[in-house]
Amino acid sequence: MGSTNSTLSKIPNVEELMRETGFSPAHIVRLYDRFESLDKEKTGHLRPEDFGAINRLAMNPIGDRIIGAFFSSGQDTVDFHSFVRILAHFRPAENNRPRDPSLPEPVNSRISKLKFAFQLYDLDKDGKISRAELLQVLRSMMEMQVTEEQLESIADRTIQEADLDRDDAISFEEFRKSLEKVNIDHKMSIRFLR
Amino acid sequence: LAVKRKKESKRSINEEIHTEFLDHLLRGVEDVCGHYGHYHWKDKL
Repeated sequence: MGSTNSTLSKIPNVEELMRETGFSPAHIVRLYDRFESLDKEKTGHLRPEDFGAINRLAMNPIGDRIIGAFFSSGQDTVDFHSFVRILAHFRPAENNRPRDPSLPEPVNSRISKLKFAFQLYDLDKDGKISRAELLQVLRSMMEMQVTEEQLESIADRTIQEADLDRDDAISFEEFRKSLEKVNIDHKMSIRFLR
Repeated sequence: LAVKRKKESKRSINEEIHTEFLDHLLRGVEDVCGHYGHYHWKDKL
């Protein structure tokens, strides 16, 4: 792509962004093009409405939560750097590369991916998925397929199964344990960002 | 989908629910990226 360098030169601190997120120049250019096409008003920032304009996302049962994840609390816009940092959670993890323990946990590690997912459940950010929070998710995913009583019974069984300390909620640790057998890297990686 | 359920019938409820959640999450993030990946075609089947 001949335009790679000209696009990169438009992005301030792009070297640092690549170092931090692990994205290649080609990834960054691709994401920048996408960011610009979503930024219809050309403000350099995206608003929740810009995400809402993505049709398939608007139909996603957890679309609102996904959009919310791009906005840190109190913010109603997201710039390119923050956009890329969020998407970096979905970069496939590098295999067999020994990690320097003095470095912070990479944003695309299994544990970071799990934390990202957990926070989408934990809307009040108290570190636990409460029965009410779980019910909200179940309701949006299973709407019209099941009755409210069935939803409540599923929520109760889910919590009972995961809730090791019997506080009637799912902590991050309990969430992580319940997903021990699931290949999180596979479930939470976008292949084209490899 | 029926095939998938059969194969994974031994999963716990938590695995069932959270993996469905993660499927929606990955699909949604792919849509943000404008990328029609694996999940896009799976939906068309």
